[in-house]
Amino acid sequence: MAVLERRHEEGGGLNTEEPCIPGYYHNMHAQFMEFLDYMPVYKDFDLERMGARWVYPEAQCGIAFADGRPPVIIHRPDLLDRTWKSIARYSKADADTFCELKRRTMEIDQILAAALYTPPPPVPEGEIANPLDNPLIDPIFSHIGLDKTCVLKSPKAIIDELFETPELRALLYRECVEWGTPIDMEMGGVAFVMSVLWFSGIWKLMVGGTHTLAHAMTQACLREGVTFLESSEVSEVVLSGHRAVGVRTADGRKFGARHVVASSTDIQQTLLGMVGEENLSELWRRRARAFRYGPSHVLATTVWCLREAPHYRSAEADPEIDRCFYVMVGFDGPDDTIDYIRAAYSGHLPQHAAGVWVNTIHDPSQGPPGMHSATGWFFFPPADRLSEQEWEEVRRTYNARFLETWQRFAPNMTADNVLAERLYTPDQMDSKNKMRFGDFSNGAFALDQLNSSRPFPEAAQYRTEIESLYLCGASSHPGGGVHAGCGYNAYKAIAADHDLPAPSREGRIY
Amino acid sequence: MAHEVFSPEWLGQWAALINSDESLPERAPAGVWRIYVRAEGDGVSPYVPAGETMHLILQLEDGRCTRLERTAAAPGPRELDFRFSGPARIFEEVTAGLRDPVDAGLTGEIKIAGDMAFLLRNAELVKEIVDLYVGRLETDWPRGRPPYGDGA
Repeated sequence: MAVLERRHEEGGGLNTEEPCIPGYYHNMHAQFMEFLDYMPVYKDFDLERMGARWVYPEAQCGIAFADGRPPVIIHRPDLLDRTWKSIARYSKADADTFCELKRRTMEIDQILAAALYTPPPPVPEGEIANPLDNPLIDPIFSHIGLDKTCVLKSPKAIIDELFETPELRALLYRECVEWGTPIDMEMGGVAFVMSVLWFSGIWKLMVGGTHTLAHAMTQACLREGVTFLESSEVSEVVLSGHRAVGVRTADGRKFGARHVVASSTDIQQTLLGMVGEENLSELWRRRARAFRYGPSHVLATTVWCLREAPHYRSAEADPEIDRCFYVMVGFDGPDDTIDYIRAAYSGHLPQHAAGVWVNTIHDPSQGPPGMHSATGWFFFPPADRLSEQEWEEVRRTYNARFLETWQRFAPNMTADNVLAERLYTPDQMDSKNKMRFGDFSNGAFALDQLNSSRPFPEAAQYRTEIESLYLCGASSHPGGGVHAGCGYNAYKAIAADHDLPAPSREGRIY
Repeated sequence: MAHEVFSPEWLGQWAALINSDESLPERAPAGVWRIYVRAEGDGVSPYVPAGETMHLILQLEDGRCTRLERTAAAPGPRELDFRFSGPARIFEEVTAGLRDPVDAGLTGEIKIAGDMAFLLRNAELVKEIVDLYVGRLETDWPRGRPPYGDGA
């Protein structure tokens, strides 16, 4: 088996760099590892033996306020009493509701994980995938105790219905979007359960940066006999008749494939680019062309080298906000969060606000002794919405404007506290990692591009109309994120087609 | 000796296999657990005619099987803890070892009702009980064995 990697190293969005000053490490894309307890590759290939290590911060995600109001902080699931206390400062009813929903969700987390690590149910030819047909909806909603009508609603509508506290709503809106679900997406009930109830508070931090996880995976593959060829951009899938028999690289090298070719690039690159439109049926050509990217998963990464970690005004009420793994900065309430999200989704630069984190608080190895590496995400419009010159202007000016906001929330965030900063924008993510238009899911999260319809119904089982060509990237279910679910599900299809052993299920149901 | 699938003798042999596992009472949840299987005739299964339903009750008491039988009608909801329902063909494919029961549940081919958190906590045990009849129960298929293809 050989892996051909376009970049000089493996890992894609799992990349940790020193983009400003040597010794200050920043995760340039993936940061929060919420799937380590679930991703089969982690346990099956014993990645901790290959060097993967993590820490699990207690205070997980919170929102700080410029006027010093108490923060709202969600802690780890084993510290629900602290979450309750934080929310109860505003509303005991909201604290009860959130903590009970969270507790019941975590009881069935394996079922939720199974939804990611199982290929979506196939849609019979001529029929339309119905999101309500998901067999797991009934047991999930019954167990959690959520009204089943929520399945039809948008996450925003559900959050508004369940919680009265504006400060909590502001946090949950952002969290929902941060973890992949468009806040206004109708029929978003299952996605709400995933993004808000399940993913909240289960985020781990890779010691040394997320890069170490990519390295551990590479080491495990090497141990299993896989060959890696870096700086090898595949430009063409070589066909014999209607069967994939190898690939050709941009520099003219050709590699034969006796059994399968599996592509982790996005669906348009794979089909329209590497296979070629002339080799596709009219239906597949049309489907691939119609596939859409962004705007829901388009990020910019802001990186900062600091003398001191931010000290928030809201820490007067709860000092935990200063150690919180993820902090929302720049939002006064739910309207700000919604305006921010909708601006980015509609192609505009939003207000100067972000979700930020300081990894050196939890892992001092990510910065020089006593100093801090801070990073954050802005939700930005897709790369093609701005010109090259406009993105250059954004890179030159946006961080400074954000710093003004940050200082209102954390007075020690002055220019003197900043040794260096940099902004990494969606157009750069596209050119560097081939996240199309900066979309880390390499495909919009919309009802017609999810589950049994991702990337499109005929390709949703990880097979293509080209014999022996499979899809294993984020354009397939369950989309982007460091879960390794697309590859795991693709392997299930490959194993079934080629009489290979099914994946081990030791200790899990999927 | 092989018995016809789903016959009283076959069910009796399965119950005996469950009870022959001495470690099961130690690992099984305490108390009485009633499981109902509802297999619908789907026009493919030769064992459950189209339009008919096979009702099967499995009762575990402190890890011992105290009841495993077909019944004429479905039990009332208060008389059961879990319900597994689906086309008869799917249950037969599981019995023949052709289909993973967990996959069948996850993809909705078998629908599950009951305390999902409890089921998850005991997923290994459920799998083991299923594996007992898939792996060790001698089964006779007088009217054909899955896979059935397009017709029975």
